[in-house]
Amino acid sequence: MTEDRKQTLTISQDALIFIDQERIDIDYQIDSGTVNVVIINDHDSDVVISDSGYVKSGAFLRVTYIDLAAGTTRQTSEISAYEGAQINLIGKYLCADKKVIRQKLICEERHAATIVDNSCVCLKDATIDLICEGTIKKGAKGTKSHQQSRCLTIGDPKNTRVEPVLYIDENDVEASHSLSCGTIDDEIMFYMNARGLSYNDALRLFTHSYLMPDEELLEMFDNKDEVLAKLEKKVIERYV
Amino acid sequence: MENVLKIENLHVNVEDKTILKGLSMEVKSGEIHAIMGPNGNGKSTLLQTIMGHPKYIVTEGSITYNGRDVLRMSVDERSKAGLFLGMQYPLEIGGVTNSDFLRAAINARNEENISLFRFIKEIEKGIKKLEMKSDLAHRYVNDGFSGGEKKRNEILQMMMLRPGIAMLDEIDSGLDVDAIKLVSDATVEMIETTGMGLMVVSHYQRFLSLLHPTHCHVIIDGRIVVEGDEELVLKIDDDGYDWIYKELDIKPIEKEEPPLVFSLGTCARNKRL
Repeated sequence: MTEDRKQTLTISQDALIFIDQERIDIDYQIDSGTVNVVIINDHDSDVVISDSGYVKSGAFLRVTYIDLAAGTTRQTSEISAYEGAQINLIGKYLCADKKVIRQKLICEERHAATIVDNSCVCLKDATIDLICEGTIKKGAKGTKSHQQSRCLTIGDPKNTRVEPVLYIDENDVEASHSLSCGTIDDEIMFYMNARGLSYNDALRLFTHSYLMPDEELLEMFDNKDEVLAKLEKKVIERYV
Repeated sequence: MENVLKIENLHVNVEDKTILKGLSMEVKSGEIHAIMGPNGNGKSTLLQTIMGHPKYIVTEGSITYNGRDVLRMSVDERSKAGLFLGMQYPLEIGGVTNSDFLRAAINARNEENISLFRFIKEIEKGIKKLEMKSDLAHRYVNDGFSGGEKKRNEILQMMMLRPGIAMLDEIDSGLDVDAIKLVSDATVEMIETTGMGLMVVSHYQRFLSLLHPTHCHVIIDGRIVVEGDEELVLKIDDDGYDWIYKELDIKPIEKEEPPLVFSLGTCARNKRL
């Protein structure tokens, strides 16, 4: 891969990133305050994303990945939280081809917190392979590591692999994981039908709800409305 | 326009067992029909069948709504036609907010999408009337709700969707005294302002006395055996169903008890080897 197809970024303040290269390396260096990062991938060719870094004492990093790419995405994330720091990772993945995602959030020191909320929609004939790992290191007392992942499969559920992993090497911590994966439950479909939504309406609603970010996530960016409109168009385009 | 839901000689099977055995009734706009009877005798089956739950198989009879054959409609078509079922056990839909869910449901039944401004105004009005939490619109549908909140949410959906005929299946169970009053007030207001017809399954006179049913039907063993008005509700509250069994010489379907599970002991040795 030539260098001009690679993006390298160092992040220490709010950022809205549109991926327009085949490879992007992100280095988080969050020393203080609250930093909000939104990474949007709607690139039509294959993309490799690698992000790593640290969040220092008392700082807060919120990273949102919105991946609507038509091609294959390979993403590896590894971010460490130090004393009293918090990392919130929100993943929204529309899988049209193949996605291989490895997320690792590490509580390095006391009272750190990491929270992951993944929502995926896996279209027909697409494959998703997501491993989300929360690690609590020795000595990191009073830390929190929570994660939840939801994956709606429209095609064959066999093409979906979503694994929650927790490595806990300390007592006096809070940790949890939850995972739902599969097609829409028959009873839920009946409930939605009983409110006037057809099968396709229900799928569209799930897709939209899973993939569109809360407006509040984009609040600090001047072009919020433009970005939301663009995402909305893309979600509908990709799905319909 | 007056809405009419007509059920004639309805026979329904669930897993090859006949639950409804020839039930007929008619519900019109503005009427309030209390459906009563012991557990397991067909009340919920009736409502679920009207709404089209795939588990309930109609083997004989007909259901029409304003002359249209309901049994030929899909579940969403029944809802769009004007039928509404407030569920006994509302489901949780993680990842979908109440706001998105309700807007999608409203838009699915109208040619033009509801404006965001009007939607917010209406949902806020409903939330206030039902004294629900102000962040309800942004919470996932019924996710983490208490039993009472789920039931109020069903009423909120009914208020927003404005059905022609609503069916409430034990909507009062899980509600405290104050919440029962809020829910019944909101339901009565809907009936008065929109002319909605109502079928309500309830075991409790408290809720029914606030609704003032115009009709009362008692279902035993899959058939309507006694019909009347609000006085019948009061009589059942005072005397139970025994007088009906005696007068008509009938027996209710006993609810099947699940098989007892007990330990056969252990084959492990008590003594250490």
